[in-house]
Amino acid sequence: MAADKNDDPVDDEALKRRLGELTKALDGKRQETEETARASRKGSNEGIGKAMGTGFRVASELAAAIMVGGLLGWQIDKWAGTDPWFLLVFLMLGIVTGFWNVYKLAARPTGDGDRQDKV
Amino acid sequence: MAAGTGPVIDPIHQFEVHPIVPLNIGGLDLSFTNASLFMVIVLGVALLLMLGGTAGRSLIPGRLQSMAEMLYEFIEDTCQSTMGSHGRKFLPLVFSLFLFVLLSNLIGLIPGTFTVTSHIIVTFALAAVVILTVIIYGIAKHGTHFFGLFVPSGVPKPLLLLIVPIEVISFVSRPISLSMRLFANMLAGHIALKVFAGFLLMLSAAGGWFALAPLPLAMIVALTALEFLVAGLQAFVFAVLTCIYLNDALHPGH
Repeated sequence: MAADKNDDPVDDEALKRRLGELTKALDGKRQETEETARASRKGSNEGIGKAMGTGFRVASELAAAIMVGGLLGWQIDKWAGTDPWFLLVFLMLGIVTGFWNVYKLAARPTGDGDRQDKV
Repeated sequence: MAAGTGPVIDPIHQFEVHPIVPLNIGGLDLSFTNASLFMVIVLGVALLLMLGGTAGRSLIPGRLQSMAEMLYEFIEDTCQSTMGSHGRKFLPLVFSLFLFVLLSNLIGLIPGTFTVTSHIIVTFALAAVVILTVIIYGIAKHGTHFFGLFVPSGVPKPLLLLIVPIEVISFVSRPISLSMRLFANMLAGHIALKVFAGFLLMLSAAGGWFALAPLPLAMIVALTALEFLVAGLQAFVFAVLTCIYLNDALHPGH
């Protein structure tokens, strides 16, 4: 180590270059491992937890849309006195909405950012 | 666990709200109830966690600090990936909601406590905060353009007659599904725990059937583990959906 100073300049240059290359390689390696670690961490989180989350979402989206449709129709009927008709129409719309929401959930990969930028 | 001692085992008993400090102002019942008490406890724990976690600011985080940092980074990550950098202004809201829901769920798992999030009015209030933020911010920022949310672009005119009501119902159902999911999960989980605890009690009191008593006990242990998963998961889902809905306020033009 201490003998480094006495080395001729050519060797010094070569050593520096080598050091630079090694540093670059090491940085690349570190980034790679970090990325894979992050990916695997995400992957394990996205296992059962993600699946259950999506399941609960699907169930509640479907139920909520049907409920909202039915309630809207029922209320409009009460106001307008047109007994079953708006209820029927809006219940249908609610069911359509529920399935449409579920379709939107299922049709694109869950968990990434730009899932809402279309439709 | 076994609140329903005596002949009647009542799994619903744990959800009863009763006043601790009765308070009646102008005909309004503003009593300080056990629900209020546990909300205060949740807030206190959240404050302790975050203040204690950020007090040290050491380079190598201790337990409390790494917990606080992990929670924060987790939510920041979620916010970033759903809303992009524009969503940073909503990070405090999302983080507060997440922490409140998470801590309510977790504290509710301690036997003998009250689960704030098992009441639909609480979860609906949280969802209403989210949706009102979406509406108010969306209209303030984009004006009438915000209602473009209900009119997808590139749809032929006749079809709009069908699509617009569907989109409106879809939007109205958001706070309902958001609050219902959280409430139903917490309610169902706690009732299931209580029902199996009731089985355990009945079996152990039933003479020879006593030998079967470990079965519901094992079920309670398994359910408790599941409830911990659900507690974290529901808080996470709540935060993610909050982000997605807020994203609509940021970018309503589909």
